[in-house]
Amino acid sequence: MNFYKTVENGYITAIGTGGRGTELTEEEYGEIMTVIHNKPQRTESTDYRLKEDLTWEEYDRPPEPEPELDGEELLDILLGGE
Amino acid sequence: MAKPDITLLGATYSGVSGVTLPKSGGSTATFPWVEGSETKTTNGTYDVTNLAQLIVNVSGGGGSGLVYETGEVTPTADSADLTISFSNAHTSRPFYALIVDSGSDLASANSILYNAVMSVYDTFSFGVPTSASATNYGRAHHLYKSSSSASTGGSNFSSISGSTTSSIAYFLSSTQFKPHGGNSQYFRSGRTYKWIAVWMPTS
Repeated sequence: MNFYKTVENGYITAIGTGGRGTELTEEEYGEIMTVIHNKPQRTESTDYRLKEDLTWEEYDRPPEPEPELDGEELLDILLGGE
Repeated sequence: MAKPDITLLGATYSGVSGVTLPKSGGSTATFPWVEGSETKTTNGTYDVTNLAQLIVNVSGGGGSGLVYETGEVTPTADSADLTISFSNAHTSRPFYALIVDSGSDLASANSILYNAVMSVYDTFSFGVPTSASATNYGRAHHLYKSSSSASTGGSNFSSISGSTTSSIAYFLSSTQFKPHGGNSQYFRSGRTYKWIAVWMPTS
């Protein structure tokens, strides 16, 4: 089994197995998983992202955008606009 | 045909109600490996292994020559998106990709128990929309036939929806599966999502 991480702009966005990314050892994978499971509690306005040195960086969360389509509209698309 | 030996989705899911599981012998024979459905209306523990085996139990040809990849992905932050890059080179999109929550690492009672996305052919989508209700872990499986204009065709983009809160779409290519949830917290930090993708033999 392979272990990997995905990194974007210096931040670890995910870790995984079976897929493709930056290879990790099983020990490294376990270490990052532990860090993820000990992520600081986010607030209404802030959250944390994981840096490559396995420290958390606080950032301001963007406002939740309005959904572009609701479920019924998506269903209409799937059904050909009927 | 012998079923491929896939045990990835061998987890059981507890406290599930209102979930509809595919089964064989139903009315949707268009799908060679998903025929019919069965609705679980009571809380209980359901073995999803059978679901996975049904899905990959492709009838006719191929034998055990199915090519599949499985894995897990754990995001570090809540996000509407996940990206899963397949390990091996393929010349076509997989017949389906599936993501299932591990169920064992739910962040809270309000968490989504599991969700799954499956793509079947270009013009079909089969999905398991989700609910964030604290007391309702039930999932309505929906089987949609999309029109040609809404097929995955040119853009590789399909949508699956059940309700506003459970909308999910995905981008699927021969190299990646990228589900896109209905809000920025659809995929939760620290939760492990399992996936599987299956390619039909080319000869």
